[in-house]
Amino acid sequence: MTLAMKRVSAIIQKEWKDSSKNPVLLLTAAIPVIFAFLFRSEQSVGASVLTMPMNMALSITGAFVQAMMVAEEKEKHTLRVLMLSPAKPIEVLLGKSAISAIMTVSAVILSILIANTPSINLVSFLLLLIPNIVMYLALGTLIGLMSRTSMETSFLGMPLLLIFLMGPMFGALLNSEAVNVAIGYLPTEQMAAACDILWNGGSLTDIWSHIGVTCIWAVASVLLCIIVYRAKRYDA
Amino acid sequence: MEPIIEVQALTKAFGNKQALRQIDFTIQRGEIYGFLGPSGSGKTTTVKILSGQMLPTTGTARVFGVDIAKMNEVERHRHLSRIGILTDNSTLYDRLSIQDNLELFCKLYNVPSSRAKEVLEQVNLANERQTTVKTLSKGMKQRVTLARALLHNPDILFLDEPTSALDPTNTRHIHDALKALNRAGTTIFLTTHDMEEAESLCHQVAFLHQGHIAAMDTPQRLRLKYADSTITVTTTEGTYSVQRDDEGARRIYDWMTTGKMVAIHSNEPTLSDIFIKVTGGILK
Ligand SMILES: Nc1ncnc2c1ncn2[C@@H]1O[C@H](COP(=O)(O)OP(=O)(O)OP(=O)(O)O)[C@@H](O)[C@H]1O
Ligand SMILES: [Mg+2]
Repeated sequence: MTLAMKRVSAIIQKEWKDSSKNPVLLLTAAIPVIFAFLFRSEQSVGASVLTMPMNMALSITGAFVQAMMVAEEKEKHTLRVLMLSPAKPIEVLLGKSAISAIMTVSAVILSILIANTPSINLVSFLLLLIPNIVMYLALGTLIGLMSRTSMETSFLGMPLLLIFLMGPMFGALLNSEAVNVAIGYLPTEQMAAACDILWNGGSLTDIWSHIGVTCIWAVASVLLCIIVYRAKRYDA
Repeated sequence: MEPIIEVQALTKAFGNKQALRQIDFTIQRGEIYGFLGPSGSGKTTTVKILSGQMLPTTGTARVFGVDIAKMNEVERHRHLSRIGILTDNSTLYDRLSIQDNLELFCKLYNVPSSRAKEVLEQVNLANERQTTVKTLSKGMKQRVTLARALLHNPDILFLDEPTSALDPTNTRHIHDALKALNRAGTTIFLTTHDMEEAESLCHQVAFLHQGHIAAMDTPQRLRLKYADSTITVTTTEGTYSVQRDDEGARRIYDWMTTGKMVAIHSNEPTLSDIFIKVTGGILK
């Protein structure tokens, strides 16, 4: 194992021990799974509603749980100690994301099973899911880095959650072409649109643009996250 | 002599609040350097700048010969692996045991996990390894944090009020440990408002007052410099203040030969006396 891998795995191990003793965090991670029961509908509904459970699992378990973990480290100043250790930014970020990634994947799978989401081709689904997870974890880290306390994460994270999850539903009411176009590019909407295509007999080749847009979101979020992380190594 | 920390005309402003105003000092390898000052004088700010947690507003600070405001990633990495820091607040993972806390950093610094036990012995906590940090007292947390700072045998230790939460016994124990580390070659930069601590540990001290260095030297030289010119003599006939001159010497000679001398004191100031003298302030 290289030193870098050793450092990443040390942070993952710490994160595992720490989060398993944090009931608030575990409960937050489970919220989307509980919500998934509400979406067990047999009637035919639109793709936005059908993908709601997985999008909730991604944004709540992915972004919020990650934000809570990062914000707590910031609040207790342990993040600074990690930043002052020989661990490189990317190693800390990877180490800190692994456990939330596992929780997010579990929450997505459970939500899909509980909500009876129609089945999707596995390869296409994974290609959609992976950039989504990367993006939500990066956004969560970003929210955590910007918050001074773990309480503040809800404050900073709520607008994001509302726009991503509720935007597609309420945006239509605004009757504005520009708003509709913008909403179409939201990762949640990209997920819904891609799933819709697949459910209606489309194949992987028909959803490349959706995967591409999500990848752009992922790359942009990761870059922003690294920039902010590096800036946070210094106090005012 | 090899300078390991060189600070020139360093200033730090927070908005329009000047926390550090043009400070200069040099620390030689192997020294224990005491940064003394009342609350709010800029001690923590200085430690943060020197350890790479804060950028100076103007001026330069060179550590290991590298300007810390201009370090690239490789230099920063090297800087961080050669320093150990004890901050003024607890920075431990509350839900984890002492052992788990230290083990994480053993791996991050690439030292064997057995180092955890060694450093805990140095801070007198070897028997508490499995205790969850949340249940520790403030002084115990402070000692765990110090132990963590020692894991990788740093060349420079930055200690921000290392004994502020400790009882006298543990303070003595930590002082002995710091002296041993220093004998083994570790340079120590220490902030404190405990003058006794500075007196017993430091080779050099600087008095910081409202962001200025008001005085700086070895404790002995400072005491000599600020010594009262009189000597207090207690005789069977009363107490006298005698000047350090021929006349004073003759009077002391007389008291001694006639057997009237009871006690004699050179009025050496303590570091606290000197501090109050140079700053005109009161030590909190
Ligand atoms: N991040 C900050 N933003 C604004 N002002 C700050 C900041 N950090 C420190 N200061 C101010 O700078 C001055 C010096 O603070 P510093 O923490 O260095 O003092 P100190 O000597 O460590 O005090 P103490 O003994 O209480 O720890 C204080 O007036 C403080 O209010
Ligand atoms: Mg301080």
